Amino acid sequence: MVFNSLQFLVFFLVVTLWFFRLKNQKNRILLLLVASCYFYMSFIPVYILILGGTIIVDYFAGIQIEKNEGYARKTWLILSLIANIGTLAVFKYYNFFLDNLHSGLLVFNKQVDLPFLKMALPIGLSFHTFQAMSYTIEVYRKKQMAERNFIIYSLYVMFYPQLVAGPIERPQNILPQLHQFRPVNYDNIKEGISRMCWGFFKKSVIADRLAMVVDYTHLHISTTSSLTLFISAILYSFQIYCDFSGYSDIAIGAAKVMNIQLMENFNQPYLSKNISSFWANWHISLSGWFRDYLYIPLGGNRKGNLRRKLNVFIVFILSGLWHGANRTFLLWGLLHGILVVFMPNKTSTDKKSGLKILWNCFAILVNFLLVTILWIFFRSENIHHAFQYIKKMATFSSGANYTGIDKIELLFSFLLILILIIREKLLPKHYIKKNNLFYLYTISMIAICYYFGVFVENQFIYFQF
Amino acid sequence: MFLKITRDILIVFGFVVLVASTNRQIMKYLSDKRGNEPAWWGTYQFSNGDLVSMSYLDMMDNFRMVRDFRVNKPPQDCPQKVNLYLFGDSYSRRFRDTAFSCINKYTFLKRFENNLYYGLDTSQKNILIIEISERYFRDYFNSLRIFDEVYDSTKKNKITTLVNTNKVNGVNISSASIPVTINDFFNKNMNQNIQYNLFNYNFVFPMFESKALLNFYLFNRASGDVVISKNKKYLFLKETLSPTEKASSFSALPQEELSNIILNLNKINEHYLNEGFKEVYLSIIPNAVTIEQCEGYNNLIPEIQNNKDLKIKIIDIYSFYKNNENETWYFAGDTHWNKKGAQAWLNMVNNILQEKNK
Repeated sequence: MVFNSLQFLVFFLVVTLWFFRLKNQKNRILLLLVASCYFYMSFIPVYILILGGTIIVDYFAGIQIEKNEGYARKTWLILSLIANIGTLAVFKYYNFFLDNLHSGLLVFNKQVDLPFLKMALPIGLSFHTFQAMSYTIEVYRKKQMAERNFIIYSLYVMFYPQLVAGPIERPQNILPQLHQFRPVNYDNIKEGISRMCWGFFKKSVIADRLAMVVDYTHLHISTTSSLTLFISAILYSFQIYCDFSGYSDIAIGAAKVMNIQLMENFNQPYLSKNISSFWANWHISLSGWFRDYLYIPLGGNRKGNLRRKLNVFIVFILSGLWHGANRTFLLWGLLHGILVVFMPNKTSTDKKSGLKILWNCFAILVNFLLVTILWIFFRSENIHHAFQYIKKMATFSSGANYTGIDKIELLFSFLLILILIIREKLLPKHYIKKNNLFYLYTISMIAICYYFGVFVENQFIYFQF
Repeated sequence: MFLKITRDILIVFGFVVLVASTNRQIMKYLSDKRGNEPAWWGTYQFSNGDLVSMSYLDMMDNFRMVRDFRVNKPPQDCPQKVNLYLFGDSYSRRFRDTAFSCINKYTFLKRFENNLYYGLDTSQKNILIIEISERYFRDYFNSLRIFDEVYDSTKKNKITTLVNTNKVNGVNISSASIPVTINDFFNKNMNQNIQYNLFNYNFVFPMFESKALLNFYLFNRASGDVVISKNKKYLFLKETLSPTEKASSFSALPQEELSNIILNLNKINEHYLNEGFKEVYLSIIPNAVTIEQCEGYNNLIPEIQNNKDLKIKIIDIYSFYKNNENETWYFAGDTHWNKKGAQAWLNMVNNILQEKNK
């Protein structure tokens, strides 16, 4: 059940109104858990068993970590981490490992039939395992009490708005909200619905429209001109942003309607002046996870410059792999690591002058172009494909200028991007105080999404992770 | 109070929509009741061509289908010795026995809907024709599933499974004879079914049409799974153009897959000859785009038909269409062949039947 589907809209309507109807937090939590199970099972029903298995392990591990001290405490944490990382390793990285092993053996002319797993990756696996790990680590660090209520803990992992593509929440933010009965708040309903509308707009009207260009050019690299490939690469930057941040907007908005506050996941990342700043504003919940649970435990910047650089590399390589078991993601992460380590990341705090503004614009542009080039690795099916794309783009060669859509629609796409930038820069808030204005906005957005939306049941890009 | 009542009504309504859209029996009941019903609550009429309907471009006269499916009656002044078994699809489903020459008995069954049972009368010449649309060909013949679908009823006793995957009607129903599993509560066609239940009404049609016309006039494209041809004369099914789908005329054709298909076709040929058929024919009906916009074609049909290892006999409509490119063989707004295209295929079949009767 993707967010941009009729099934989700009807499901959301039923669950939310029923949620409002209940006057008891226990019943509300139960309703949300059942709804979340239905939501998850609508992808591939049987995979709920995997999720359920890790929830049970982490629930008991959390309690045992809290109960015990010293060696036992650590053992329970390790058990929990093994359960989560093991699940990820089996379902996400096992075939990748075998594939690389197979390639390695071929170098030595050894043809071996390896036992590849023939099954689809459980949807959103990387997200909910990271969220579950966040819980046991926080309990181990004594920053979070172990959750005794199994239903509440299950809902912490499975809360449907953020179950399959984040934001990757922290227990300190979500668990207290699940314990507390929060009355219906009309302002939050309005803000949530406005935000959901904006998310649908970004996904259906912008991202899925840009996808037509990107998909077409990636399938016709050899016959497409360099300029068209370059335009397509830029459009992909906006496609992935609108796709993922659109998802986050819908998730945060849906939770907000039920008076539950999720963390922000994006903060205008393409207006960053360097790569470090980009990562502070892109997929914030994941960057924060890696910072708190990997970079800092590795020593962060406390053990000298060389060690800091090494830590950054480790984080970015693992971040790349987190996105997918493919060499393209590995290289994408590695290249980001190189840019973070070697690119200057100090921005001046001088008062704004004409020259300074110009310099900032230049820095934003350069940073955006770098990120755009690296997205090519992210989008490509394999490394060969990525290099083929970059090579063709860099040689300024001629070829077809067809982008997969009509020129008018291409211009319309640029207009949409302009609207996106202006809206998010100048009107970042979603709350509309006046009721009439809120109704007008909502009805207009529904009409715009219907008439200008591209509906092909495209999954959100980040669902695959 | 009013808000509370509205809220409760909406909860019940939404719940009913979800349950109804998941349940096969309810969907079947609803589509039987509402299908082609002219009243406001009836479903949108799909009478101008499947692609026209899928893209809601009924207003565009140049794509509307002329509903004329009559084909010539061939001469019947020959001994009727042939029992013809046609295992086909939507291309051949309209043909009646009178469309064929010199036949004693005609049996047609549509793939994906019914299985074809036969009990061969060995005193007659039994001929099996397997007619398949190009867009299903690769997927279907990559396995030997035909053995479970076309078989001797005296040797195998199996319940017929009925599966209606008529996407065009906006509803997906599969048979009640299949046992209920957990997957039935998570119907994969849920969105299509919800759309059918919530929006597929005659009175909502202008809304769909206005969006389709907006896309057509403003962006020069069709909505949904339909693509406009480069010369603007035809509508094509999107999946037949996608470079990544097996249904496509432009997706890569790996040698390994080709070899496997040839191997399977030979096994199929051998199997049905051993079963008592005098001859077994394969006929691949090209996608409209294969004929009308062929630049970049993956050559699936010639690769199969001209393969030197292939044993099964071919009714080669592809070459006939290609050699007569000035003619129009397909409807402009429908996936199927037009009257002329169908007649050309029937003429080929009838030539074979007349030959066999000699």
